Amino acid sequence: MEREGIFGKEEGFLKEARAFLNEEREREIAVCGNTFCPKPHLDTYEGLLSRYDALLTGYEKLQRKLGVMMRISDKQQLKINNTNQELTEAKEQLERRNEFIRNIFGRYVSDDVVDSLLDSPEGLSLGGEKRDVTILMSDLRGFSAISDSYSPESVMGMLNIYLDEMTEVIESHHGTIDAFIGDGILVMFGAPVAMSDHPQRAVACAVGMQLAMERVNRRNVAAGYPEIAMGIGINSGSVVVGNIGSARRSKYTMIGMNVVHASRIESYTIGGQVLISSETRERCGEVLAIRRELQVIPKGYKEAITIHEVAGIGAPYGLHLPTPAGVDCCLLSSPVPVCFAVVHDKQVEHWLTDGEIVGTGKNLVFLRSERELESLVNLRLLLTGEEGSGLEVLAKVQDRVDSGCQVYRVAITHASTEAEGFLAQLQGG
Amino acid sequence: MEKLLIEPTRSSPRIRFDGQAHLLEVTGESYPEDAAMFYRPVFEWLTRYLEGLAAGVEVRVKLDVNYFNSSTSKIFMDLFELLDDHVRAGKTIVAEWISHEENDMGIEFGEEFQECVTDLPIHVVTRA
Repeated sequence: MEREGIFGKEEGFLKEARAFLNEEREREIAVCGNTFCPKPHLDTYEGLLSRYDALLTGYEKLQRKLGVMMRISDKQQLKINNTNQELTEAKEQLERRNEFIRNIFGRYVSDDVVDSLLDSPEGLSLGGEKRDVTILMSDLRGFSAISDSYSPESVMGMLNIYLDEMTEVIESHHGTIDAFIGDGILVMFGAPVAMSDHPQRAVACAVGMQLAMERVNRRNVAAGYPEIAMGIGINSGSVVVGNIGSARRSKYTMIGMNVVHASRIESYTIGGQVLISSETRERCGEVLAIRRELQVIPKGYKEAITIHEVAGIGAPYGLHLPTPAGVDCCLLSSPVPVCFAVVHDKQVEHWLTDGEIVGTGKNLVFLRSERELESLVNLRLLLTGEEGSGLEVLAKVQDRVDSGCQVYRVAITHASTEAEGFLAQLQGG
Repeated sequence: MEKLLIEPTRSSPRIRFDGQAHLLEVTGESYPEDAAMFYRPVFEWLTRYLEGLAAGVEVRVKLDVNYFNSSTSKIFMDLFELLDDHVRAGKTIVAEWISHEENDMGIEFGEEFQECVTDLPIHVVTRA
């Protein structure tokens, strides 16, 4: 039986019936000519009935099959429609869940991490991998002392303004915020979303963050809060990244000595500075503008390392930190006596060294001391003269002005309002 | 007579026609691009088999197809019609339309096919 299509059988019936009809017409014309011939030959008439019966039976079957087909087709269509409806509802529910995850989860991790996890849910599994990243660590200078002087609400208010502005800058540079550590921010570039230019992005982000501090301080002043300053340290290298924690609570984070290295570099900054490791500088190449290089021996390190102060980053970022104003030194006619202690890792040494402030400048003092002080060492200065006695200032040694007379340029990282007023008075007087 | 074995694809069912065991099985899903072409060898084999089938031998035909398109439904009706013709001619053939017990629609399709035949018994069988 030849079957052309699914209706091949029925087409066969019709073809046969049509051929028979044509044949009969020809025979009628041959027998009767053009005259009307009401009765065909008897044998042909029987044959005609038989053919008619076959055609009618075939048509009846076809009609029955068509009816069944349509009912089945309608039911299948209904099933597909129901399935589509279920799929649409499931999709909407999934979108609502994703939105919920993005809203809640996104407060703690960047959009990149959320997108990455939503795209590959297997990323939620605990585990880790070694990745080449750039780590940015920022910290507010002297904020611990500020937080002791203000109400908890004000401290939270200040932090929220700061973190709000910084988060926007970080996200715009596709950094992933690993953690807010008090007033510090730990950011990674290059994970979870890999990027070949993570060192440049991190430095551009750091410069952007410093520039955004102007907005932070405008908002702070408007809210009645003090101005704050931030230091940033950056390092590039291999770390272990992944979801670390337990099945109940885990966090996408990074671990490794390179993270510690970034933190150590950050500890050498004063407000407004961006210091980077040699590794980051090398990877960034010529696009960076470097203000100066410093040799330091961080805690736990046996040898000195070189750190680099960033002045800006060129195209395509085109971001530059303001050039520090020339030191407008005001030499004091009567030096102000102080004693000071060196601070290592927020631990103040137990003995005090005598010295005197011989000059002042914007956010800095010139300290004369017989004690040898290394660059970037943190100091806690205590004013001991008749005027200003008992006032405290946190500061960081910048460099020695003159090796002959043991005078150091010391940047003020934090001063109480009273101390600030006293130093301003010295400068004015 | 040689067996007819057609392996399943994503859109066509497994065909296992065993002339020795007199067991004909169609299992899977059926929405081939050209249903007529896919089932042509099935009908050719079946026609030859039924014509040579000795009287008194019972043939069991099992269809377990949980999804099929409209063209396939026409093919299945033709299949049942062919079997129905042979039952009328004195052959012993029993058909089973198998469907999952929770697939109400599948069971209803079996009942629809029952209406297409006059002499072929089509049993609607559910499986867990």
